[in-house]
Amino acid sequence: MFGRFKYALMSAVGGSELGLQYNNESDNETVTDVINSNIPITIETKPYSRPSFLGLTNEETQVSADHKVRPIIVPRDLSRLPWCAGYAECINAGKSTWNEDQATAVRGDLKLTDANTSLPYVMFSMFDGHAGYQVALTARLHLHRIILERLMAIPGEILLSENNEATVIQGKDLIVGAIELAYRQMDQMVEHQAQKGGGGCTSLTVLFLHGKLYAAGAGDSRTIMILEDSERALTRDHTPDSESSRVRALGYLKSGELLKGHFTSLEFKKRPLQRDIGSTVLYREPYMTGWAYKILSQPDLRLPLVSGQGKRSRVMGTIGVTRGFGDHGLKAANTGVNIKPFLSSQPEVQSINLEECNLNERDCIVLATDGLWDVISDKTAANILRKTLAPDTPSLEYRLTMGAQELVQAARGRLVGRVWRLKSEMQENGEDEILPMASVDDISVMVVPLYPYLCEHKQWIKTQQQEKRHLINSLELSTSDAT
Amino acid sequence: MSYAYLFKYIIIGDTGVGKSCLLLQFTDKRFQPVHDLTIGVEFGARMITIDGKQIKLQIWDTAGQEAFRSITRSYYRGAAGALLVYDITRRETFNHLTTWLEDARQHSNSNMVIMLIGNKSDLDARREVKREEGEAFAREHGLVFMETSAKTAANVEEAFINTAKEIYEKIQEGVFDINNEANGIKIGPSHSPTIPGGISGPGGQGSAQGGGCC
Repeated sequence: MFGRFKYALMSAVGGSELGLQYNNESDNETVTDVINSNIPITIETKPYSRPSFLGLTNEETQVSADHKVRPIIVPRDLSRLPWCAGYAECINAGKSTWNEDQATAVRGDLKLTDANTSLPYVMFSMFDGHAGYQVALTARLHLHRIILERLMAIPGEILLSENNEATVIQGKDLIVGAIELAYRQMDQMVEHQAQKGGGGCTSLTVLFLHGKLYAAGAGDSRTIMILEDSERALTRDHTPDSESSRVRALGYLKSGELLKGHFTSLEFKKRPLQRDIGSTVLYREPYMTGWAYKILSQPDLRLPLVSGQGKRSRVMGTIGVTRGFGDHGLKAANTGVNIKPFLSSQPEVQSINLEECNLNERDCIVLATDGLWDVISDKTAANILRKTLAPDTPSLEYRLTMGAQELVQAARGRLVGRVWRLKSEMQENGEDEILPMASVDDISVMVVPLYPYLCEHKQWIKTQQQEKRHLINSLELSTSDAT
Repeated sequence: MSYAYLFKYIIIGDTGVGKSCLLLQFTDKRFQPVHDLTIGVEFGARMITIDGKQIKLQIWDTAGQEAFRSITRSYYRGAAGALLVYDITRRETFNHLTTWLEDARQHSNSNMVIMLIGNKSDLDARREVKREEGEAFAREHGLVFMETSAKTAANVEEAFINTAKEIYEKIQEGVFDINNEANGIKIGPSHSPTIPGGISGPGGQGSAQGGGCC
C-alpha cells in the first residue's frame, strides 16, 4: 500500500535540510581531521524555524506559537516524511517564546567506498532544546550530515558483513561507533553557540540501515517500539537521578578541580544539617547501592552534586538532563561552577534486526520529547496509538499522523480555568474530581512505521541478487563466446 | 504589513463540505478540486479593508472528521468569528449543524460572530438542502446566512468580509473588549488606541460558558 508513495519520496526527501546531496563525493579526510585536531568550528547561526517537513511560512510559525491555544501542528503534506511517518507538535504554555523542540528526517543511498554498491538508509531525529532554541536548531540542520559522513567512512565490505563467526568486528559495531562519534562531533560544533547562551538539547536518532534499526538517545527524550501486543523503550532517560553514579563518580575523582569546594559527591540518606555535625549518619559513595555510616563533618554540609529524584532531580541544583548537546556555558546557580564536565554527549545505541522481528503493518516506533513522556506512560501511549491505527479508513498514511496528533493531544490536555489538565479517565463523573495536570512543555511526537522499511530492504536484497546473477550470466556468456 | 485590527476566524463543519477550499479561494483565489483530508489545523491570512481601515483576517481551518472533534474544540478559544459550513448537496451535513453550533457556543466567547454557509451552490442540480431551509436555520439561531461556491468563488469574499464587518460593528458598539485577546481581536501595531471599547461592553464578559481564559 506504500508503493505509490515510494517513488515520490525518493525524490522528495533525498537531500538533507540544507538541500545538499551527501554521496561519496564528500571528503572523508577532512572529517577525520576535524575530530582529531580540536580546531574550533564556527557554525553559522540560523534564524528560528520549525522542522522543514512542516512547510510552515514565517507567518504560520508565528501563529503556531500561540501559548494560549497551543494548536497541534501536523505536516500538511504527509509524503514529506519517509513512509508518511506521523508527526505532531504543540508549543509550551508560555515558558519560552518559541517551541524549542526540533525534528528532522532524511533518506538516501549510502555510497560504500570500496564495495561496488550503495545502501539505502532512512534516518529520523528529534531534539528537545532548553535555555534557548539555537543548539537544537543547529543539531537539526547538521547532525544527519555528520552521521552520514561517519557512515561513509566505514569500509563497505565490513558494513555489509553478516553475523560471520570469522569476523571479529561486525558491521553493526561500526555503525554504532559512527553514531557515537557523530554525537561527539555535534557537541563540539555547538560549543561556540552554547557559550554564547544558545542553551543545549537532548537528541534522539533512529537509523534504518541494512535491515537493522539503530535507536540512539542522549537525554530525557525517548524512543519506544510498539508492537501488536507489547511495547518497550529503545532508549533510556538520562537524568541526574538515572545517571547519579556517573555524575557523582566524576565529582568524587576530580572534586577539587570540578566541585571547587561548593558541592559534595556523597549521598546522604537524610539531608544533613549543621546541628548534625559529629553525629553518625547514613551515606554512600558513588557506585554504592547499599548504605554505610560515617561521622558527619563540615564538608559534608556542602550542597549535593546530585539532588532530587526522578524528573525533578538536578545536577548542582541547576539542570535536569545529563546528556545531549551544548550547555558549554552553563554555570551552577549561585556558585558559578561549570556544569558541562558532568554532561555527556555520548548516546546509548540499541540495534534491532528487523528481519528477525515478526512485524506487521501497524508496528511502529514513537520518538517523543519529555513533553509527552512526563504525563503519558509507554503503555498508555501504546494503547492510544493502537486504537488510532486500527481502523482501515482513512488509510494508514493518514492514521500515522492522526496517531501522533492523538498523543500530543493526550499530553497537552485542555485548559480548565487557567490550568492545562489531562482528560478524565472516567468522563461520566469527571465533574467534581480534580483532573491531573497536563504537560505545559513543548510536545513533539513522531510515529515511524516499521513494515515499509522491511519491505524495501527485502526488495533491495532481491535486486542485489538479481544483479549478481546477471553479472555471472553475462560473464559465463562472454567466456562461452570466447571458447 | 501594518493593520488596524487582526480578527481571528475559525472554519467549522462536517468533513468534505469545502472548508479548506473556501479558505484557499479566499486567500489564494484558486480552487483545488481534490483536497487532502485536513488532519490538524491549517492557517490562512488575508488583509481586507473596512471603513477605510486595514484589517487582517487570520483564519484557522479545522478538521471536520468526528474523530477530531475534541481537538477542534480547543481552537474556538480566542476566535472573533466562525464560519459554520454545510454542503447543500448533502443533507446530513445540514442535519449536523445543531451539534456544531452547540459546540461552538459552548467553547467560544459569547460574542463570537457566527456566519452560516451553505457551500457548493454551483451544484444546484444535486441540491438536497433548500436555500430557505438555510435561511430559516440562521434566523432561528441568530446567525448570518449565505450560500457560496468555493469553486466559482461566488459569495466567498462576501462571506469572510461580511463577518468582519459585523465584528467591526460590534467593536464600534463597544460589545467586544478589544484589549482582551481572548476575544480574538488584536489591535495592530500601527494603530492608536482611540477606538471605543476600552471598557467592557454590556454583557461583554458576563457569560461563564467555560470559554475565555480570563
